[in-house]
Order: sequence, then structure tokens, then C-alpha cells
Amino acid sequence: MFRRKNLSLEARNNRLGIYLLSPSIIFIGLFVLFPIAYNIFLSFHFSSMFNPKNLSFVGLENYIRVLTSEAFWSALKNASVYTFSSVILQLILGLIIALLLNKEFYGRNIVRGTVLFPYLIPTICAVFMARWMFEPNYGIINVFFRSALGYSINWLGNPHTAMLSLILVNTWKFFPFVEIALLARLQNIPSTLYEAADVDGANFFQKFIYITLPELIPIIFLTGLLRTIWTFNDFQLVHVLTRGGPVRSTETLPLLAYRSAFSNGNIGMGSTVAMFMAIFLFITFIFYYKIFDPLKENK
Amino acid sequence: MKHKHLEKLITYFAALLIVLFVITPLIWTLLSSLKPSNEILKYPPTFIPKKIVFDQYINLIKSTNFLQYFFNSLIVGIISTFLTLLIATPAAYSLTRFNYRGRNVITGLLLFSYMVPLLLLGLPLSVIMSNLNLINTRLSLVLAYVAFSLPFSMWMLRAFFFSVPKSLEEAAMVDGASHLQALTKIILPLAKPGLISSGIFVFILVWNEYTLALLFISSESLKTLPIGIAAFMGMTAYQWGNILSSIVLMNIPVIIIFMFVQKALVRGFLLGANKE
Repeated sequence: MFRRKNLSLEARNNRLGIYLLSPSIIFIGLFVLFPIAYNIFLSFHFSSMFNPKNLSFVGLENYIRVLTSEAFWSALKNASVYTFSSVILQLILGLIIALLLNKEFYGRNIVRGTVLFPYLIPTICAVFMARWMFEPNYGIINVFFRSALGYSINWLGNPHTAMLSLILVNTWKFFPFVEIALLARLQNIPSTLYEAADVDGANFFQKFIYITLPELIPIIFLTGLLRTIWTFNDFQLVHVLTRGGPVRSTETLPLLAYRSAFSNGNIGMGSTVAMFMAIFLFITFIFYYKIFDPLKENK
Repeated sequence: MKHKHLEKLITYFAALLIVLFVITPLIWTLLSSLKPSNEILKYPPTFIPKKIVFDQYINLIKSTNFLQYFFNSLIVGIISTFLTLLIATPAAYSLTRFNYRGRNVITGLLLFSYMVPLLLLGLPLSVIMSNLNLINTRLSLVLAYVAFSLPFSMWMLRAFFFSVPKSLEEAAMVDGASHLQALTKIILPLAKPGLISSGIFVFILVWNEYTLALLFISSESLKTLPIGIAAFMGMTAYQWGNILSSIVLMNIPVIIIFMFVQKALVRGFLLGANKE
């Protein structure tokens, strides 16, 4: 134990800093870091839901079973289709709307506020609203289809349209995230750049490609990356909208992990699938960190 | 000249389309929820209810556990928010005003938590909670939510604390204030928008949270709103009346919060506390 006299003022201050930080570190360590480590541990064991305290070490068997199971690759494919389609749609939609809301017009502020609603609404509400609108018999969307085409589409009962529904709901719900980030960036582009371009006789497209887009690329990349991670890891939206159906055609990795652990009763397997998700996450994190170095403020 | 008019027209038209795109599901759900039961499932549907009734809402409250779910979500939300802010504030203060080994590493790790899938935490946590005999309690949810919210709250608060100039506290400490007094009397009042923003983000996160609640809670009386109303979409006929009215009711707190604190939300949003 240090004697008070031997510590400089700064060192004593810094000790206080550590004390102030410790409750949060302890909490995070116990309930975030330890579970992740425990998950790694679980993935090397076989554990049945019905007798959870009975773990038997199986080494890499879970990993091999996962890698050789059709369900895993199917889930990976579904997750990829879901993620990349949704993200691309969100980026495009967010960009267009941000560009629009950057212009001046009456009521612009109201529209800016309104556009955020999908993001603020609880996901489950968004999903239920989608279910209500997509309902084969009473859904308002099918009302239009019936009057136009003569038949209604069973959005959630057909594998192809189910995935499409997922993508649409995800896009509707999360495009404001992209939009608001892009709009903030757009508003910081000095108008002098555009004025100079006008003097040089640039038209709309040229101004967009040579001025606007380069300024936006970093933010587009950042929001795209974040949305990719969050969509890939998404459980709630998919589970409530389709439960992974019909017949597993929309089962993504998180749903497979859940199903392995709870429906099939094999927690070890569930953890293993989660480990693969974590690997993807880890790679993405390194990628993100290298590119953005978020600790600039500390330096 | 004509070009300008056309551009304006297109702008207004596009703005209208966007608003419709965003609002239509909400309005349609609201309108549907105000119809009597026999009119909801009518084909062709009536867009404006013949008569506005609150049958669905009354039925929801009387015949389901909606109020219980609402109460559970509210309690868990408030306690989690309070605890998170209580722990994150000194932590953020520590990260901004002190210097010690590992500070940068820890700050970097905070970002990592943004991207952790809830399921990766949820599966092992449910086993751990089960071993601790905490499974199926609201406490388990609070613990998990606080732990999960701490990283981004610390990140947000840290950003807000940075915006308070250090000279203010230094002046106070010259006058004899301790660190704790500097924190409470100077930084906190100035960083109030940051505290409010962080608090709101935590509350909204907990209010909407589904995965962990699904994993931890199995008793009907302890369910939070998301998993409680998810059950309205059972295997057999959906109880549309209940579903529609519960959507509207669940949206109301969020919309109210949003309307009152628009500015603080946007600022906090851009400083980086989004999770979904």
C-alpha cells in the first residue's frame, strides 16, 4: 500500500480517476465480457437444455457440425442477402432524402422531423404495422394488388416475397439513420464550393459528382458499415416478422443460433453459431478501427 | 425561370411522397384501431372509420395483460436508465479529466460494444442468470440492460463532457472545490443536455428491447411490452384488435419524448449513441 506522502498529486488524482471508472468496468466485465468468454467456453461443450448443468467437453465437434450443416450455410446466405440488400436500399434512400431535405422549402423542418419517425418507433411496432399491411386478406397493400392484378400476394407465406418483406421493413425502419447522418454532413459543406462551381459553369450532375459525393463518401461508408453490422446481427425484426419462415427461407444466423439453443435444446451448438457471428463482427471491427481511428480526440 | 418553378414543384412533390411513405403505416394503423371489431376485418376496407370507437383499446386493457407489460417495461426502463447514468457519469468524468494507463485502450473498447450482437450476449447470459437463479426476474433484465447501455452512455457522456471547458473546473478547484464538487456543481449542470440525451437513449433501448427479454422472461406477469404483445400474434387467428391498439399505445411515449426533446436527441444521435 502506498503511503500518501510518496505519491505525487497527479498520481493521487489519477487514482481517483480509476476509482470513478471501476464500477462501470466491473459491471461491463461481469455482464458483457464474461458472458462472451463463457460463450466461447460453451461452444466447446455439449449442453442440453433439459439438463443444463451437465456439460461435456466435445472439443471442435460443434464447430465441425456447424460448418458441415446445410442450415448454417443457408442461414449465412439469408443473412447476407438480407443485410446487403437492406443496407444498399437504405443508403440510396437515405441519400436521396438527405439531398432533398437539404434544399430550401416551406415546411422543411416539419418534414425533417417526420422523417425520423420510423427510426424512433419500437421495432416490434414497425413489424406489426408491416404485418397488418401485408396481410393476405385484409392488408391494405393487397387491396391495391387485388384491384390492380386480381389476386393478392401472400407476402409472408412465400419464400421469395418473405425475404423481400424483411428487406422492405428493415429499409423503412432504418433509412432515417443514414439520412440524418448524411444531412448533417451536407449542411456542413460550404456553399462557396458550389458557388465557385457555378461560376465555372457546372451543371447539377457535375456539382453532385465532384463536390457533394466526395464529401459524403466517408459518412456513407461509416453508416453503411454500422448498418451492415447491426442488420447482420439483427434478431428481433426477423423473428417477429417471419420467425425464419416460411420453412427457414428467411432464417438468418441469429435465428439459427436461437433455434439451435432452444428448439433443438443444444446450447453448445447455439453458442457455436454465435461464435461465427462474433468472428464476422471482429473482422468488421478491425476494419472500422483501422479506417477511422476514433480516438483522435484523445491525442 | 421555368426551370426554377419545375424544380420547386418536384421538390414539394417529393417531400410529400416521403412524408406519405413514412406516415402512412402509422396513420393507417391508428385509423384501423379506432374501428369496431367487425369493421376492421372488412373487405374492401373502409379508410376512414364509419364511427370512431375505442373498443379495441378497452378490450386490450380489459382482456389482456397489456397494462402489466406496460408497467414492467416502465419499471425496468426507469431503473435501468437511472442506474446506467449513475455509473456512467463518474466513469465518463474519469475518462475525460484524468490520465492513467489504459485509458485509451478502454475508450477504444467502448466502441467495440456498439457492435456486439445481443444474441452473443444473450445465450450465455441466460445460462449464467439461470445458474444464479436470477432467470425470469426483472432484475436480470436490469442488470443486463445496464451493462449493455454503459459503454455507449459512457461514450456519449464523454463527448458531452469534453465540450465543457476544463478551465471552469480548474477555476473552481483553485477556489477549493474537490473533484467531486467540480463534477456535480460545474460539469453536470452544463452537460445536462448530454445527461438527458443519454438517459433517453437508454430508456428507448430498454423500451424496445426484445431479444434479451425473450431469453430471460417466461412468466406472463413479468413480461415487458415487446415480448408481451408479440404473443398476440399467436399460431391461430391473430387478435388484430389487440395488436393494432397495442401498437398505437406503445408508440405514444416514444412520440411524446421525441416531440419534447428533438434538439437534444439529434445532437446526441450525431455524437454516436445508436444501437439497433
